[in-house]
Amino acid sequence: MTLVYYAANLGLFFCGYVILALGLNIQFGYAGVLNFAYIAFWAIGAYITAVFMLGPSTAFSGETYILGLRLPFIVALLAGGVAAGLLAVAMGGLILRRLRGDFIGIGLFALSFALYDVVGNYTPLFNGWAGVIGVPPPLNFFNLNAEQYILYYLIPSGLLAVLLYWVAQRLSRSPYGRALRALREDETVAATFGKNTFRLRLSAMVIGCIYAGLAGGLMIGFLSAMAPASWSAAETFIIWTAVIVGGLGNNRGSVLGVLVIIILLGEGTRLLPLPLEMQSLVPPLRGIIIGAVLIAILYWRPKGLIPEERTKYHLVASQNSAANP
Amino acid sequence: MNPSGDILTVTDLKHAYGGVEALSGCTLAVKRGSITAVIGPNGAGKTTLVNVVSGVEPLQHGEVSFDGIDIGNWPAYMFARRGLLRSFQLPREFGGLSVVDNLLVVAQDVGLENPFSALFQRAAARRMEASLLDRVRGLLQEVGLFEARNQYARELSGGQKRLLELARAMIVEPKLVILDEPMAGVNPVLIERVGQLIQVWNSRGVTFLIVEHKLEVVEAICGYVIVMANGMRLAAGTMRELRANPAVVSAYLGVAR
Amino acid sequence: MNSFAVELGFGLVAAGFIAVAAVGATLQFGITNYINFALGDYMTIGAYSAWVLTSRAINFWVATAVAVVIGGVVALLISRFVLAPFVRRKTPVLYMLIVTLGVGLIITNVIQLLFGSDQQQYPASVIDQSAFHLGPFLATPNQLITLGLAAGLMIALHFMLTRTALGKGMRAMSDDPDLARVAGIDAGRITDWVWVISGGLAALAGVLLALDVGSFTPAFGELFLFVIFAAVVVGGAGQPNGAMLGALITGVATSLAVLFVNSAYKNDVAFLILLVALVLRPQGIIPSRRSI
Repeated sequence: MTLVYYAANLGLFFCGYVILALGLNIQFGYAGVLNFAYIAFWAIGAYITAVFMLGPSTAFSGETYILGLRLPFIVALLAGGVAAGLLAVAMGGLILRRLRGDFIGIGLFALSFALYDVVGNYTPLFNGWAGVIGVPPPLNFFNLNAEQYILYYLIPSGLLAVLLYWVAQRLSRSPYGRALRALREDETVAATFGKNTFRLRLSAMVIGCIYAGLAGGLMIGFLSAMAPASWSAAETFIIWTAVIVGGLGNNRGSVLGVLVIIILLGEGTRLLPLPLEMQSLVPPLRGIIIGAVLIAILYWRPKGLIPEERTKYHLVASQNSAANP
Repeated sequence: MNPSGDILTVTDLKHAYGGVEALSGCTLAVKRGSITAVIGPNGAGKTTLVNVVSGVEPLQHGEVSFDGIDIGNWPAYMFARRGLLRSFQLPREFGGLSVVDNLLVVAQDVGLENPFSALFQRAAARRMEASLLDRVRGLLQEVGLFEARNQYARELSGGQKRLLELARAMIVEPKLVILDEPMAGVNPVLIERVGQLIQVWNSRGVTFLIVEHKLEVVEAICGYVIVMANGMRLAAGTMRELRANPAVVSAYLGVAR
Repeated sequence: MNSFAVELGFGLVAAGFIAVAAVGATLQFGITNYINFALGDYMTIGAYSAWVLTSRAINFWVATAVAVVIGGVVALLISRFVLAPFVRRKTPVLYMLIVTLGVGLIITNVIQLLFGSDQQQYPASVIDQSAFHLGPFLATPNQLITLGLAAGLMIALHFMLTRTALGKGMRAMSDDPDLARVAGIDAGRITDWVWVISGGLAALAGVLLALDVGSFTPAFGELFLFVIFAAVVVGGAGQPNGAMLGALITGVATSLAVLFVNSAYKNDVAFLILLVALVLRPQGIIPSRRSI
């Protein structure tokens, strides 16, 4: 594997995970939704995008899955985002209405395991534990070979990541973003002041999950396969750590968090010069390090590396102040 | 919606928490344009009354009428939108927002609080904020928080947080503001300041209902006082009338003074 | 053979070990006020501890008893050294949950580091048992022991909560923490004990679950955790009697479900039960005073 190829591959993961992190930041950083099932929404996006792009499953292909529409990537990607959004509407609509934060966490946590069970065991859906493979490389108009394609795919990946970053910034610096943050700070008071806390929270969750779905759809473009092993509960955790380390309520922080956790820790540990017998120790070691980093950050620097930004308003004191009666 | 008369009426309010009765048939009225106090010993049900009337606790039994409308089954967010506001015993500012944002967020146009507006109606949002910021500036100067306008609300002192809470109530141009022990933990200089602010705002047409323990404050600014005990209204009137009322004296006033 | 009765019997056994974990969890939540998302991994610790000891020719049930002690000690240490610092600085509940999730992640990976990710089993001498008829039911000796242990523990816990000073202190703290503190109850000591109990019970439940399922992996407790949560929520978070009731409902429902759906999905019935509870009655069958 050449260095360029390796770097480009890393870049693709970076783009995909940045989108994932931005979505979680919108849900939890701004609206305080404890979505412990977040990675399942990424998976749904990936699966739907895959079965939109693949042809119908046949006895020959050896896989069974629903749909199989052989549609172009753009449509499939949007479908992935929509699917994740719809699942968020369903789940959020049920449990965000009157539950307190930790019970919302339980409900979503349970959802991720139930989905994992069902997707893994019910093969007609997405080919069960073996997963869906053989997704054709999206947008491959020029019939590039593997290395060239990885470099090429950086362009749509980067564009999507930049677009979604811009959207996240707009959402944050708006009356909507302000209302979300008030909701996060003190829900009871926000409700007293007329904020429809359910609708605000649900919209944030749906938007964040659409981000996850789009990230999944984008990433299956170069992963070309998706199986339950890729989205176990531990994977949710890595994104959570990235968002918290980077800085909650802060889109730049999410980008930095992805850089630190996934690129440095994730890839960095892979490059450790370990003898072959010990290679299998790397995944659990990585898990331990990520868990420890998360707990440490939550204790010593809970605001993350880049704390939330604050708009400074340019107000000038008026000459005739009505202050003193 | 009668222009004079009572802005808030409460009829036979009963409320219980897990078997403990906090309100046992409370009936009272608040006159429009007044500064009315609610006093009474601990456990009289004052905070429960405020919670039920402001929608924080669901109505269990009885009727509550605000501005002539029955608000018994209003959801929490309706109260503020219709002009009924309350504060809490401990200041509950939005800590992670700046002082200005604390005011903007409660007064901003609710119609713009959605993702589509965030993406496509930036200009309209800017215009709305610009016009709001005029009032924000005026209010911050009035309460004396202008210098602290860009600080995080959680960084303010206790007294400043109390002032912020008042400013936040006033920025939405309410009809009735219910204050739950606004002077608790506030130093004497600030007490006077808060009293003055309430009187100024009252002169502009805002009705105040204040739950308060400090009788000197009640005496100074409240024209009408309601005494509660055992979950019910015991008596009501001016402080002078109440002092002459033997039931009130024995229940509450006599010991203190 | 009436398969309904057979599955009902299995359901009662499952209710047994679900109750063991659920009662510990609900007690701990009632007192600490945050949910322990690492509970499933405490169960895994139990299962693996018993396995390590049994493979050194220690009697299985003795090994289980030691595993329970290990579970209690580990839970206490984690509470003292990892969780308590956060509690001291009044960390919001949402962040406590993330911390417990982190603890769980570390535990499951430590176990994987030490023992690998392959499926493990208890020795044949322990698990190779034939089932015999007990009226309309079918049972193995292990299953009967599970039921007996669970029932015995429930009685013992009930006794502890109603008759001992510790138990009364726990109930006071769970019902009204401010009042309890004013009454001079030592919150620190009670918190320590509730972690020992919930950790020990989780460890036992892990062993019993491993016996029931037949094999275990580093993640197996985590995968089962939501079933425990279903029992806790359905019964009423913070109420031990509620947890027992919730365990009964969940255990029986998931077992009877195999009569209608593929057995691979039986635990997902618990998810449906949890969802229904969260939507319709989040305070559970036996509500406590806390606002849900």
